[in-house]
Amino acid sequence: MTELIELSAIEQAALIREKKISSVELLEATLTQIEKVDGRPGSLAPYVEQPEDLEKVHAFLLITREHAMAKAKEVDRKISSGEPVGPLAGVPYSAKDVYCTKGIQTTAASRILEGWKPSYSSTVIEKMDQADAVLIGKVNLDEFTFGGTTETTAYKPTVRNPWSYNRVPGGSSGGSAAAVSSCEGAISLGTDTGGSIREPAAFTGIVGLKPTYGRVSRYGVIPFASSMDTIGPLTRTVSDSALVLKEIAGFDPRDNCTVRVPVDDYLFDLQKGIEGMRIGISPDYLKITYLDDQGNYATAPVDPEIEASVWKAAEVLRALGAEIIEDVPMSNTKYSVPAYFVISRIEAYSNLQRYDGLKYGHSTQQSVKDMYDLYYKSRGEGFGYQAKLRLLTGMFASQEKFYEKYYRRAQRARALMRRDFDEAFDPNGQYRLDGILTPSTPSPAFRFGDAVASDSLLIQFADQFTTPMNFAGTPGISFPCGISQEGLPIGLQITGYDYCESKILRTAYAYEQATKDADWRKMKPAALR
Amino acid sequence: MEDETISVEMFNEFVQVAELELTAEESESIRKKMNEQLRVIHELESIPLDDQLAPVIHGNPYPRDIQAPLREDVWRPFANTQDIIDQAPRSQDGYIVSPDVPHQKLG
Repeated sequence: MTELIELSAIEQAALIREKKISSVELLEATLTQIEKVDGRPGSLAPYVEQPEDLEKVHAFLLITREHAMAKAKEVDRKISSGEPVGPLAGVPYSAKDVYCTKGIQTTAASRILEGWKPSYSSTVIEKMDQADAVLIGKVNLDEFTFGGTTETTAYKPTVRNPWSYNRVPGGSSGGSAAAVSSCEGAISLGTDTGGSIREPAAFTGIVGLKPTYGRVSRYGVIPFASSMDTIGPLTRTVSDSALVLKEIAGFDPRDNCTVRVPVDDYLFDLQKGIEGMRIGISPDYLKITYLDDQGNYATAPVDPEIEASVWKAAEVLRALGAEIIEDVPMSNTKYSVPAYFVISRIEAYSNLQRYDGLKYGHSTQQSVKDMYDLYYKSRGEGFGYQAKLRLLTGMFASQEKFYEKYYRRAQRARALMRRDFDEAFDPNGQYRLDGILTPSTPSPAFRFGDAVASDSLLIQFADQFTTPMNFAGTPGISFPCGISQEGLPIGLQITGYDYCESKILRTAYAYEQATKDADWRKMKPAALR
Repeated sequence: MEDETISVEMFNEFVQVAELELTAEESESIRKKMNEQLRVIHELESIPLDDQLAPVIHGNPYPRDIQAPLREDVWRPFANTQDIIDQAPRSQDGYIVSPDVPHQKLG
């Protein structure tokens, strides 16, 4: 059974279509793996850590066993009766618990949504169902996606990195990444507002794809910062990400930010190779830039193993026929942190105002004197620390008197960052790039607590290489490129221009195929050993 | 950089408008954290922006040919409205029941 769960989604679907295994058989193998490695699911009950918690993954909040079994049986019935099935027929997948699932608990990992069962499913969940994939459960995340470690979830125990249980899995799609990395389903759906697919993918040694803003519908997905929220897959292979993207992408009248741009055949395009593609490397993505105590910009190098991985991967791509263009300036990258901070907090504040304890979710059990008292108490009890902090910071920054100084200025800085991408990818410009190769993160996965306690710049600025793409709206893919001396996965990112997912998938695929026999690919997460 | 801090009074006003009830410990910790984060926000002032640079709402442009067309304003009934009402902690006869709504005189 172990081999079955370790197969890619494409391989699993092929076996099912060829009747070599049944969908039910694959589902049972996946559920067995979850029972073996996942441990107790996250819960709102007061958390008392147990020794066994420390050696489990804890990716799942909810297993939708009956729902999954019904779908698996439906797929098997279709196949046995010769009916057509979707490209993901019988493949088990999980969804970050911000995807609305009709009649199934959806929490955003927050107490404020306690007990809520949406009356509808998100567009992407419907599309996965149409592709005949099997939803096996909902996975943990940072509360409302606010974080990069999954530690801010209200549902404990939080997710542990399958490679090293004392390390964070990244976030906010930490449950998705950990589930896929430990073979609890070949696919998980995540969301990415500042790196929340790509960072955990890098930390857990898998592939994570953030599509162009507007490429995939967000209808029915609980928002964080609406001008940057994107949806994408986390998988173990590039081909699986290509297939899932094809299934979930496209215009949706229910998300007015989706675009009428044809969806490519990403899977087919993988075979085109990268001969002649121009891949850039920017010095601005090989260092952390920050303001020092004197208010001057200072830099710090990324982890040496990470930088070495970039250059090594560049050589692999060069050998495959790509042209490597060095010294591409992306000099406005350093402005992403303050500008992202302001815009994301203001948009988060706006989105959090809908939760009131009156219409759905958590409602205080204390006596209240009026409706406002109900709001105060329900929201005070329901939101976690990070949600309250972001809500209040967003409110502060969005005051009318600060409009020019903060929000508008941040939006102008955003235009500046976008200009970097426009110039780098301009087909008539100096660089004429097809992609830019960067580290996904400045360091491998760090220890629990370090995001708050550590003064390491590499941890404090863990999202400096991923937020610019959310700002610019461009796509990015994180893919594994090696294992550090400490035995932790290292991820690289290829970013491309608007709606050019096909090119970045091709690049990541070419690298994956060229390194498929590398020794580091034989190493497995602790959860699979 | 502007020397600006969020006072206790200012913070309490934000908390009121945000419709939050915080414990004393939360209030102290969050106000302290917000003041620390003002430093990050003030970094915006050090970004050189020329006067011609227009703000953008989204990163990638939305030319008209790929934009979503405006939908017709058509009423479409939801299949199961009772299911939505049932999500409310208190409901009666198809309506959500709220505690008293105090009348406020607008200034």
